[in-house]
Amino acid sequence: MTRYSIFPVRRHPRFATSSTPLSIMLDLIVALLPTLGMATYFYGPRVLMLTLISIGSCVGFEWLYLHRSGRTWSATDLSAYVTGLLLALCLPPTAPYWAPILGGFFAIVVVKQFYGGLGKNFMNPALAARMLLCTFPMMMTTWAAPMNWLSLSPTLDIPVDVVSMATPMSYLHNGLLPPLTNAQMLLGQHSGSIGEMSALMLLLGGAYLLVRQVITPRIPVTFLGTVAILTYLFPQSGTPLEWMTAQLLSGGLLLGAIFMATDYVTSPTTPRGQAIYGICCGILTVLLRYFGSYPDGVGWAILTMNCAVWLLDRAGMPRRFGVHHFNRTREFFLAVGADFSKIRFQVPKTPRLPLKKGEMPGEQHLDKLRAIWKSFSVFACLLIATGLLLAFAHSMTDFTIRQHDQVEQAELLAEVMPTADIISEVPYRTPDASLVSAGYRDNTLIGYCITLNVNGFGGLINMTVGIDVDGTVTGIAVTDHSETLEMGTQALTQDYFESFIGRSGTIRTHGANSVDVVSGATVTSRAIADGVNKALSIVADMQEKGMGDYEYGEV
Amino acid sequence: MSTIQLIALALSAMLAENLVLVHSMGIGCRSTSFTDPKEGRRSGIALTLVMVVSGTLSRGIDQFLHLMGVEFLSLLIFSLLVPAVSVVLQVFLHFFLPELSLRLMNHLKAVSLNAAGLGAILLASQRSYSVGQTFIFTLFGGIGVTLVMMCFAGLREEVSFTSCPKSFRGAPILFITAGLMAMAMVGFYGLHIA
Repeated sequence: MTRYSIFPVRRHPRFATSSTPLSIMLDLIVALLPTLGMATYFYGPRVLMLTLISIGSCVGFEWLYLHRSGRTWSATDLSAYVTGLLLALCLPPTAPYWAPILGGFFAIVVVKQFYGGLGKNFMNPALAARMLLCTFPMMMTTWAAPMNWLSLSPTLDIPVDVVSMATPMSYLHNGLLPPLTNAQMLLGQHSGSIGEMSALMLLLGGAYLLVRQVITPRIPVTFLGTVAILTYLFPQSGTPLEWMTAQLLSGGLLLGAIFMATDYVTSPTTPRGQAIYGICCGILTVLLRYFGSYPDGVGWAILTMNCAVWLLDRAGMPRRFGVHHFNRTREFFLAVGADFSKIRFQVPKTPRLPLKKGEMPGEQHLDKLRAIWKSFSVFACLLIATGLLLAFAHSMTDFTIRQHDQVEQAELLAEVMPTADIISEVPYRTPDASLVSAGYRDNTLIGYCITLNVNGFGGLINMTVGIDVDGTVTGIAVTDHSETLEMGTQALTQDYFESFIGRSGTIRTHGANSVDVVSGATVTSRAIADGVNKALSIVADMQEKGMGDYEYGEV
Repeated sequence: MSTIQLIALALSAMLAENLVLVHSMGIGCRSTSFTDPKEGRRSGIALTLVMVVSGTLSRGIDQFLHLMGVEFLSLLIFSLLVPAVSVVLQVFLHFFLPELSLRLMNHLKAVSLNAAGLGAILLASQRSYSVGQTFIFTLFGGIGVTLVMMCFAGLREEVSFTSCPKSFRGAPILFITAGLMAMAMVGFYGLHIA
C-alpha cells in the first residue's frame, strides 16, 4: 500500500530479518542439523532413532502437561523440538532409549513448565536433563568408537555390541594430549556424545546463527576466549598451543558455548552481564576440567552460572545515556562511600540514672546487675549439670568404646598383614600418612601398615595398605569412602584389592607392572593405585631414613 | 600449609562443600533474606562475621579442652559458642557502631542459631584444621552461603513460583528450585587441587 502525502515520508532503515520465536527456533534447528548429520555418518541410524525419541518425548510431555493443566498447546511453538534435539545431542550414541524419555520428562515438566513454560524457566532444560542423566551410573562412562554403526536395539550390551574408545576429554582429564590429529578433532573422528563429535560442524552452525543474528557473539567469544587464555597459560602437556587447541576442540565446549550458554531465557540480557557470564563460565569450566571428578565441566559450569543470571544482570545494568562511563563509575563509588561513611565508631557514654531519695548513687546499676546475674545463674547451673551428666556418661562408656576401637583397629591391621602376630604403632611421622604401624612375627620385623587418605571420586578414601620389608603389598583395606554406589564401589571389592597383592615398585594403571582399572570406576581405581604407590614410597623412605628416635614410654 | 592448599581449601569451602547446597546448613536466616537480594547479602555478611569469629575462637577452645582432657564437652561448648559470639557482637555493635548495628542487628539475631555456624566449627574440629585453615574455611564457606542466598533471592524476584500445579505451590516448588541449584553443584563434588 502506498500512501500519498505532500510531505516526503522518511522511514528509519530496516533490516530484512524479522525475528519471531518461530524463526529463531527454526534457525536453531537448521544450525544443529550438520552436527546431527555428521554423528549419523559416524554411528548410523541409532543416532536418528535417539533424536526422534528425544524430540517425541519432549513434545509429547509438553502436550500432555498443557492438556492436563487446561492450556492450549500451539503447534508453532518449536521450543520443545529444540530442547529435544539439544538433549539428544548431549547423549552418548550408546544411550539406552529410556534415557531421552526420562530426560525429556525432567526437562519439559520439571525444569520448564513448572516455572511457567516458554521464556520463564531459569535453567536450560536440555542441559539440566543431561546433567541429571550424567549422575546415573554407567550412562556416561562407556563411549563407542566412530565408524562402527551401532545396532538399533533398545539397550546395548556394552562389551559385546560396542567397540569402546576413550574420549579426548578423558585424555585431557588425565593431563595427556589425545592421540588425534587436528583434522580428526575438527571432523570429529573420535568418541563422545552425539553433539560433541565434529567441531567443524558446530562452528558452521554457530556461524549460521551469527549471520542470521539469532545469537550475539558476546557470550561465545568471552566463554571460549577465557578457556583459551587459561589453557594457554597453564598447559599440562605438550606445547601451550597444542594443549589449548585440544581443550577448545574436545568435549562439549563448543556445543555449550554456542548453543547452551546463549539461550535467551537463561543468560543475562545486559551486555556487561553477558561478558561477565561468559568469563565466569570459562573460569568454572577450566577449574572443573583440571581439578573436578567428572572429565568435562562445561555443563556444570553453565548450570551453575544459570542460577546467578539475576545477579549478573544487576551487575551489568546498562549505563544511562549522556553520562560518561567514568563519571558513572565515580558516582557509584561516591554513593557507596557516602553510605559507608555513616558507619562511625563512637565511644559509648555510661547512662546516668536519675538519683532517687533514700538510694545511694549507683544502686540502680547494682540492681540491674543483680537481675542479670539471677537469670545467668540459672543458666550456669543448667550448664554445669549438663556438663556433669556428660562427664558421667563419658566415664561409663569411654573404656568400652576405646576397647572396641582398638579391637577393630587390630582386626583391620591383621587383615592387611595376615602373617604378622604383633602389630604396633611406630613413632614415624609423615604428612602423607595418618598412622604407621609395624608388623612383627616371632619378634622379627616383617612389614609395615600405612593408613592414609587419597582423593577418590566423591571425596577422601581412607585406606590401609600392608607392605612387607621387601616392599611388596600384602593387603589393602578401605575403612571410609564416599564413592558412588554400584559405580565407584566396584573398585572397592576384595577381588580388586587382591590384584595388588604381591606387587612392588610403582604400580601403574596401564602398561608395565599395571593393575587394570575397573570399567565404570576409573577414578576410584586410580585412587586405590595412587594410595598403594604412596604407601610404597613411604615405606621406602622409612627404610632409608630409619624409623626415627624412639623414646621408651612415648606413645 | 602452602598457598595452593589454602586456595584449594577456599574453593572447596565455597563450591564443592557449599554449606547450603551440599551440607544443607545455613538456612536459618530471616525469611526476607531469601526473597530480597539486599537482605540476603546483609544476612550473609552477618553470618560470615559470626562464623569467622566463632570458628577462630573454637580452635583455641578445642586446644584448651584437649589440654584439660575433657574433649567430650566440645559439642556442648561449641553449641553455646555461636549464640554467645552473636550476642557479644550485637552488644558491641550497639554501643560502638550504632549505624552498622541498625543494619545488621536483626540479621545477627536471626543467625545466632544458624546451623552453618555450628556446622562449620564441627567440620573444622573433625578435620583438625589449624587456625589459619579454619579462618579460610569459615570465611569462604560464609561467602558461599551469601552467594547462594543472593542467587536464590534473585530467583524469587525474577521467576514465577505460582505457575506450577496447585499441589506444588508454596514450599514444594521452592524446594525443587533449591534442588535444581544443588544439582548444578554436583559437578564440583570431589574437587581436589593437588
